[in-house]
Amino acid sequence: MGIEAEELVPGVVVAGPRSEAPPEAPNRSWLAAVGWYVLLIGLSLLVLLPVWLTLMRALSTPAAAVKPGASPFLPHEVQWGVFRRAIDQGNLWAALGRSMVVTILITGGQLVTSVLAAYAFAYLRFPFKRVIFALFMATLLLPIEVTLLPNLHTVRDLDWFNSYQGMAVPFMATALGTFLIRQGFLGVPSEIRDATRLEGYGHWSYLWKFAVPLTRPVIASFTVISFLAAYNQYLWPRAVVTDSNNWSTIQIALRDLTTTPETSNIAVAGALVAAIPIVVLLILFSRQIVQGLTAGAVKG
Amino acid sequence: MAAVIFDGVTKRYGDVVAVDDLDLTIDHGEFMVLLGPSGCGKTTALRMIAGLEEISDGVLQIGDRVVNHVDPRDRDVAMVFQSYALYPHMTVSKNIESPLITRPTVVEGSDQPRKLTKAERAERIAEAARMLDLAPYLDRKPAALSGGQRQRVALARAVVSRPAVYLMDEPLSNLDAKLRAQTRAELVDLHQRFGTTIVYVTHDQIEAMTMATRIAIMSQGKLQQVGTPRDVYDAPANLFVAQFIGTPPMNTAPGKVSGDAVVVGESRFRFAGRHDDGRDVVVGVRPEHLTIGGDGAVKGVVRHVEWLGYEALVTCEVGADAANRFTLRQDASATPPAVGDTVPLQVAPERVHVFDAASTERLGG
Ligand SMILES: Nc1ncnc2c1ncn2[C@@H]1O[C@H](COP(=O)(O)OP(=O)(O)OP(=O)(O)O)[C@@H](O)[C@H]1O
Ligand SMILES: [Mg+2]
Repeated sequence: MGIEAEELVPGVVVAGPRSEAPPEAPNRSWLAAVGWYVLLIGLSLLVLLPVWLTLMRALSTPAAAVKPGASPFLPHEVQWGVFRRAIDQGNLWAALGRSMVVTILITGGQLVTSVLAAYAFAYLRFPFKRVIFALFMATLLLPIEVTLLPNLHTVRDLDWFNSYQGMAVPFMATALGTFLIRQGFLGVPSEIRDATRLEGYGHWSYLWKFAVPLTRPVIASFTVISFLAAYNQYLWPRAVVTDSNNWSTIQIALRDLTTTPETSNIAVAGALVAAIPIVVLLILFSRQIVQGLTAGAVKG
Repeated sequence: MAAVIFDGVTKRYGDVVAVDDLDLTIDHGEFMVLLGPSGCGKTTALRMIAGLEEISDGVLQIGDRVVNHVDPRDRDVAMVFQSYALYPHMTVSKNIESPLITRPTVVEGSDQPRKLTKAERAERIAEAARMLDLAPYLDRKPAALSGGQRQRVALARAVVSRPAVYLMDEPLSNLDAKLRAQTRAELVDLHQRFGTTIVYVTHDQIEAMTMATRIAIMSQGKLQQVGTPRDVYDAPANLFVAQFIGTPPMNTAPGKVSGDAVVVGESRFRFAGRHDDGRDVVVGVRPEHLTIGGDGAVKGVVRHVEWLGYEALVTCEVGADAANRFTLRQDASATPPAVGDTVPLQVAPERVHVFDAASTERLGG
């Protein structure tokens, strides 16, 4: 918004900087738009380039692709069957299925526990709330390596190796989700909470009918974060899966794709297959992700 | 029957006393306005009626029931919040329906409140929408409404459950001046048509004067005076009320009683009634009761003239003390005096207010 006109001296109107558009303005704004699009297209290409290179690498016969002078931007001696081979050899569909089960369990579990814990920290009064919250947040500082061994002992004692619960349950609570969603809940105007109290909504119905819908962008972006982290897990499944034929997740299966220099493109193709769920997720949630990332940055 | 009774109600936040020993009876069908400057405890008093704040001390009754520990949902009150507190994720229709969903509602022809059926709810929504001209907007979300429309949705959400008491916290403060005047009239109309009890919080004396059947004036958590707009204007109970109500505020000056007048410097303000000789008092005169002319018992030196088109405000120094500035309202057609002139001033004795200098309480006749 520009300054329009100011009355510096009563009765004397001083024209502000935005008062009159220069005559060539339409042309200029057209040029500016083109400039922006060129810039944005350039940036998009930059982001998409690695994906394209990977695709070319997967499709090309490895020996042909590394010949001197072979362009990495183009396919060489295309092998259309490489995806089929990767999927068959690594049993990728099965691994992908298991990954999805684990990921959905973890994400779903994190959502439920985070929403409930966030509600308690945002709305309930109980003794030592601040201390408990601080301790809870402190777990954010612990890298997975610190908790790996104790968790492994627990899971072994429960006899949960090679099982979905063994892969999912240790990750079903998260301080990050609790923190983000609590912030979202605290952002709900207190008068809205008061109005629902007068209208007779209890904790449970307030949570699901008001608090959660009103923090949807935050919850959606946390869902994406949680999904990505769970799907990309490597270290933990590696540790609790001893029967890799029947229990590999996709990330483990990728590693187990045996490759020789002549078939190295199979591993690349496998990586592309593994990326499918992520791409689907980003497409489904793109609006919420953008909203979540800018939430609070823009008024209204 | 009284609708709401505060009996020695106090609210403390740690060391802060937000509402101090409030005694106030709000009658059935009254439009009671709680008026006072910012931070005087109006909102706190209102929220205690709603049950949104715990009561530190005293007894609060709604109808014939003590409600100190009654859940907000069971108090049969509805509140219009300053921010309106509309639910942004719900349509207007759902917003209006919301108070009917979980609570038992009072229905005609039965003394036992019960939950409404879907058809009954739809009927209530339609009725509220008709009353507040919201029918065309029922399917919109609040974000797609103007400020005035949002305000009406908030009102509709309050009327839909036909509560025993309406609570309103500065519901007009987000509207522009024109819409505010219009909504004021609508609220008065609503009150008269349904004879409901309204407790209305504002710091705007125009709202208070134009809508209230009675006004409760508060300052620093304490009740100062309760009365009709006429009462509080014509007979303010103390200096605070005298100066809070009226624009420009009442002129005041410290003086001493001597016979039938308060002496301020060389000026004598004759009053009606009797006061003890020699008593230290504060004399008060409203600007519209002071005129130029008369026998010169009161003299002022003109310091300032503001011509507003429909009237002029003339400010004079009375009694040689520069702090004692008296403003009077003069008809715009009269020729205003020149700055520096000494002019005679007059005021009818029954228009002179006298307050005790120490306690600031009004001294009656
Ligand atoms: N939650 C709280 N904790 C501590 N002090 C509070 C709290 N709520 C209100 N107060 C204090 O209580 C006093 C009265 O507040 P209240 O909101 O009732 O004022 P108000 O008359 O409604 O003012 P305004 O016109 O500004 O809305 C103020 O001094 C305020 O600072
Ligand atoms: Mg207030």
